[in-house]
Amino acid sequence: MTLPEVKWQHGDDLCDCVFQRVGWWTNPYIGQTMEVRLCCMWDKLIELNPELAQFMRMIPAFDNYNTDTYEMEPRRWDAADHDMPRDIWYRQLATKTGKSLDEIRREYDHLEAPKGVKRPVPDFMPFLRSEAEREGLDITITDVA
Amino acid sequence: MATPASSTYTGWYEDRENSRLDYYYKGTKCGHLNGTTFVLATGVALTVTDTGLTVSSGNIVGTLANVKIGAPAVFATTQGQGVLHMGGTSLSGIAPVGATVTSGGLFASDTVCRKIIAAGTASNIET
Repeated sequence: MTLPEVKWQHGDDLCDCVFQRVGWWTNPYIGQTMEVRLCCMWDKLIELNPELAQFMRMIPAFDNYNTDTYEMEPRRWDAADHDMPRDIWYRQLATKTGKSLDEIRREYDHLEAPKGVKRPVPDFMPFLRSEAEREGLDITITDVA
Repeated sequence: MATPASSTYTGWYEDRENSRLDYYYKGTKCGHLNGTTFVLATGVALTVTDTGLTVSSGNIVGTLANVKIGAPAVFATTQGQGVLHMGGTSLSGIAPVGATVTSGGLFASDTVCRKIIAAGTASNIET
């Protein structure tokens, strides 16, 4: 029995599925691990059974679950201290350009994914002003650099 | 609100108007207690170190708050409310392994949320 050289895991970019879904079950007493690329299985099932296509649909927008609205434009990477994962970057580029993931990988393989963005320093001035007002103090802010 | 005479007072102060015992540090009120509650003032954090925190009955309630376990990063866009937010294994250290009889657990790897059940089977939480 041979062990796999590469583990299947979320974000491994080993398939072209838009949303990678890797089922993973492991138990130390059984001594077995099962990995299932669910995303690929869904596609294969539909390919073999076209009538199943009616039960899956892709919507070309982010479903903003806070506002219950669709957002058509892919959002710029805005995590503070983490670079954009390559698999997400490639799929964002595919969404924006309409190109296939193979094309995107060829064109962008040598480039760096977007970096984490440094967050702005919080603005404490409103808090300080409200505290001063509550205490009845007159304050003069001369330097906020 | 009754306050200590000194603007730099440190210690306990009995607020008779409100039937409570306030506590101050260098003139700043840090909180109060009465017969039924112990209150921290806004901006005062409670830190529990190696002895842990035990709640023998009742609930731990986070009103408009989140529960963070480990050291998860912030969410990039919206922090949310009522979120159970777990640090990944690279952030908080060690993932559970082995049987946990008549119980189970949730944890996070670097990329997915995972669960572990009584028999020790760990799995990805995927749809």
